[in-house]
Amino acid sequence: MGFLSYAGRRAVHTAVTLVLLLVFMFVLFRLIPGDPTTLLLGTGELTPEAQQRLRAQWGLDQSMLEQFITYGRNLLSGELGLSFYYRRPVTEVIAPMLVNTLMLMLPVVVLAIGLGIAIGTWLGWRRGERVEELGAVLVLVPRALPVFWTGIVFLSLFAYKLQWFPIGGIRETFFYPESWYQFIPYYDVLRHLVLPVATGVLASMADPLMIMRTSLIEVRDEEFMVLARARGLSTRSLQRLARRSAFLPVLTYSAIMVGFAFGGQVLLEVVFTWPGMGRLMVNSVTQRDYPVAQAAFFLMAAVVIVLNFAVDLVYGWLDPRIRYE
Amino acid sequence: MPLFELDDVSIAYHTRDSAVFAVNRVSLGLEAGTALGLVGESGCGKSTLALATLGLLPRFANVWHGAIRFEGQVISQMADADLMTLRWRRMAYVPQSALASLVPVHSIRRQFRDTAAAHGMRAAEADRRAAELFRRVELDPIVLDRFPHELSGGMRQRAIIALALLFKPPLLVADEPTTGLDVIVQRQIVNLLTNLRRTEALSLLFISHDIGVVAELCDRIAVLYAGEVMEEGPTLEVLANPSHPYTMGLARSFPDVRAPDRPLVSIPGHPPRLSEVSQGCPFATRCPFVRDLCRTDKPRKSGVGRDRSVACHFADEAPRMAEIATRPGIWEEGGAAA
Amino acid sequence: MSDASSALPHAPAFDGRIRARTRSIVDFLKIAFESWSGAFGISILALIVVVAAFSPWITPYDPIANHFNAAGQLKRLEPPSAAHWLGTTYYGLDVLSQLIDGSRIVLIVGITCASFIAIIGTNVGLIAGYCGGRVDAVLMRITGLAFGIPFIPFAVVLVALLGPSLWNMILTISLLMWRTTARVIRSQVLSLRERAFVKAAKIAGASDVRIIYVHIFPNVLPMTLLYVAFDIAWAVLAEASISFLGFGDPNQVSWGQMLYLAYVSGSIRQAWWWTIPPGLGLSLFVISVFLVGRQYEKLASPRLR
Repeated sequence: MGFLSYAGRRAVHTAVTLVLLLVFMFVLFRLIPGDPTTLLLGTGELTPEAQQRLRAQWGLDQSMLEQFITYGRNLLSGELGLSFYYRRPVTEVIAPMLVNTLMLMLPVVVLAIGLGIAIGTWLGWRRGERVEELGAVLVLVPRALPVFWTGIVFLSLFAYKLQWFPIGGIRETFFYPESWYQFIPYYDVLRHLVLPVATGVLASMADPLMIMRTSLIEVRDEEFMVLARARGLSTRSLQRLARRSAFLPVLTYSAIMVGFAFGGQVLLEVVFTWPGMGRLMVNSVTQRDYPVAQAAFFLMAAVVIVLNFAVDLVYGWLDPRIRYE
Repeated sequence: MPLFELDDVSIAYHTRDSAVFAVNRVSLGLEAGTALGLVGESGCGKSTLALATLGLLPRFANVWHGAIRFEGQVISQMADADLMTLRWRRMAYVPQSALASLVPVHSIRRQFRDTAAAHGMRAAEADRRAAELFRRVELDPIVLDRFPHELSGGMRQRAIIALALLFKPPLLVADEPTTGLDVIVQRQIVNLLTNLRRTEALSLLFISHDIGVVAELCDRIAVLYAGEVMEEGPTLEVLANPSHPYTMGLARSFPDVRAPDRPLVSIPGHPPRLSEVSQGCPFATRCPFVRDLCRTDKPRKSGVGRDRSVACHFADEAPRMAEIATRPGIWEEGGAAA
Repeated sequence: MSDASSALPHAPAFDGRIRARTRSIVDFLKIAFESWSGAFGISILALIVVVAAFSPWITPYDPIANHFNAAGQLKRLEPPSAAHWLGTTYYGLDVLSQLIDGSRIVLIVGITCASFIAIIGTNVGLIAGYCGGRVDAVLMRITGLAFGIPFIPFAVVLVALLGPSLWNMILTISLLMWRTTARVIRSQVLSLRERAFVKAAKIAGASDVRIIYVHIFPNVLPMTLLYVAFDIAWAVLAEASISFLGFGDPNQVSWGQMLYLAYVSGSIRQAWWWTIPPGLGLSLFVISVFLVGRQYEKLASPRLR
């Protein structure tokens, strides 16, 4: 039993899940009414030779099983087909959008977890006091607000009314720095990031916060904390000790959180007209541009699954008892 | 002036609707250089007392009444910040489960250093003291760099005793330190404690349900039942000539190497629930000598001889009761004597 | 709080016993009222239920009727007035009537989805937890997949493929959201499985099915109900999100859809009377579910009190 054997088992587990994902998607996208070829070939926009080539590439003349294998192989190797709408390979269309999405998603996730841990620890340590009761209720509020509504409210207040921030997009088409601070690199992009990131963090912060709080409350009552107190450790040292043990469940949650983050991301991108993968996916579905929709969907799901694998590894490293699962 | 003193102390645990008293008007004293053993069944309040001495009661419990004094100072109402100067420097605590009480992710050395740092001692000094103490408790200093789960139970217990002695505290509170260890390791720990008492001039508050160990280690013994002191005095005297029916039963419930065939006593019934408060003597429901007065009136503490006390209405009949108590039949269900 | 020493009786005669808390439905409801937050929550929920139930009679106007002014022009984006308490939409519809009508979807979606989720999730959790081995592994892989799939993208794809109807939305939501319940129930079952009463039933010859549903299920029921409560909130938010993206049922008025129309008609700039109420309604509903759920959660784990 060691870390390697655990990692190996987790890798197999992940691979199986990925295969299941492929099966699932294969079935899902076959549900489109009409010929399965419309999935990839479009509505007669291509020349017969191109059609023939694509048919061969995706193996549409073969049996279901062989189709599936080809399908899987294509997706995993990045051969994602051609976008109807953009008339370009899907990979070309998605790549820049992916970058934009990450630009928005990463700050949201990092800030949400960071703030969540900080405030959760603060609350958890003050368990039983007035402020903690109130805090626990207050924290539920941002969680309950629909993220797209918060976005709309922020937009109408801070962008339209007060005009502190732009109303959407990732950058101005023509941006000429005027005051000194506007010369900071990427200032324009940062300006555009503020509102969507704030909205996203507000919505995502509550879960890691509550998990950290509950975890901390439990750790505080553990026996080693009692002895630590008896040994005369200062409150700060005690907090640090508790935090280290309480932090593990938040780590587990962060993997799941990314899954939710993608969902929220779609909404954020739509509200703030952010040119990212989420918005691309929604538009492509409406436009019946199935290759793009499929690729975007696959990417998001695959990222979540792989991330879960990574978190499992980190957890296994930090807590040796898990390696026996 | 006793080094450590419990003065009419009551400790309450607060639930949502009410409070239950784990310790009820307990008064005890510990003179410097002596060892006091606190014995009783599970749930009699001894662990609660141990926690209270260092101010380690959980948030929902407090010293409701009375005062705990250390070196003359009242510590039961002290703020945490002030208590921190006393903790570990003047009073140390040896818990029951070393495995659960040591930080699982830190090495032993790290725990020494952290404790030292909390009191302003430098790491180098801490390491020196740790090595010295390990020699004293007969542990190989190599163990210092191990993690708690890598040590055996006996080794852990000795390590934690060494840690407790880091600042040569005058008072050591040990909460069932030998429970759960096999007899050979128990013997080692008891020997260790006896030695330490001698060489370090340690005062010991020793909590246990094992009367045999207490008999060996402690000068005085206090018998607790349902949060109240039933009897208190010099250990050998109390055990040889008990004045309280409960002590009489307890003393007969341990095997005696000298008389291996002597039948053991088991006091039928169980201690009352903390929430079921009685007006009379708490032991009334199980006492073979119970009379009406016992159920209605709380017995007052009365002196026996020079330095003993007992809480029983009929303490003056103790010699007669003690004699009857030696007959095992008395302790059977329904075998009451009058 | 200590009394003068001699005046204090030997120990106060408090009754420390914790009363049996749920002896009747009234007691059950009373728990929610035990804190101001719980009382607030359950009042809001009651309000929404009442509004939804009586909506056909309460709406001042037909929710989908266009309103014209004296000159025959569409009353677009009118701010609140005596005739229209919450103003009108870009399409001349009365906002208040829409708001009231939309509450029905909240209840329908919430309760239906939560029921499906409860059924699927609980059964998966029970069977996986109890049977263990291969069955457990397979079920957990499927659950793992469900966790890996991001909800909104999946919902968008599915609803787009199947067509935007209320039923398809309920189906979509239920198809993924059972995952949390399944996991939680499974861990509960794993610990219950080793308990004496299960072993006793086995020895007595009870069949597996019987053990699962007669013995184990009642013990996980409180947990199921708790998660069902939260799932109602999630389902409602999910429906609102999908509708906001434009994939909602065009034949139903829903709060999410109101926000969608407000957004795409470019009205969010000024029409706060159109954008605030539906979002506020959704927020209040979800908060109330949380607050009430929290009260019952305290029952399940006393530590959290």
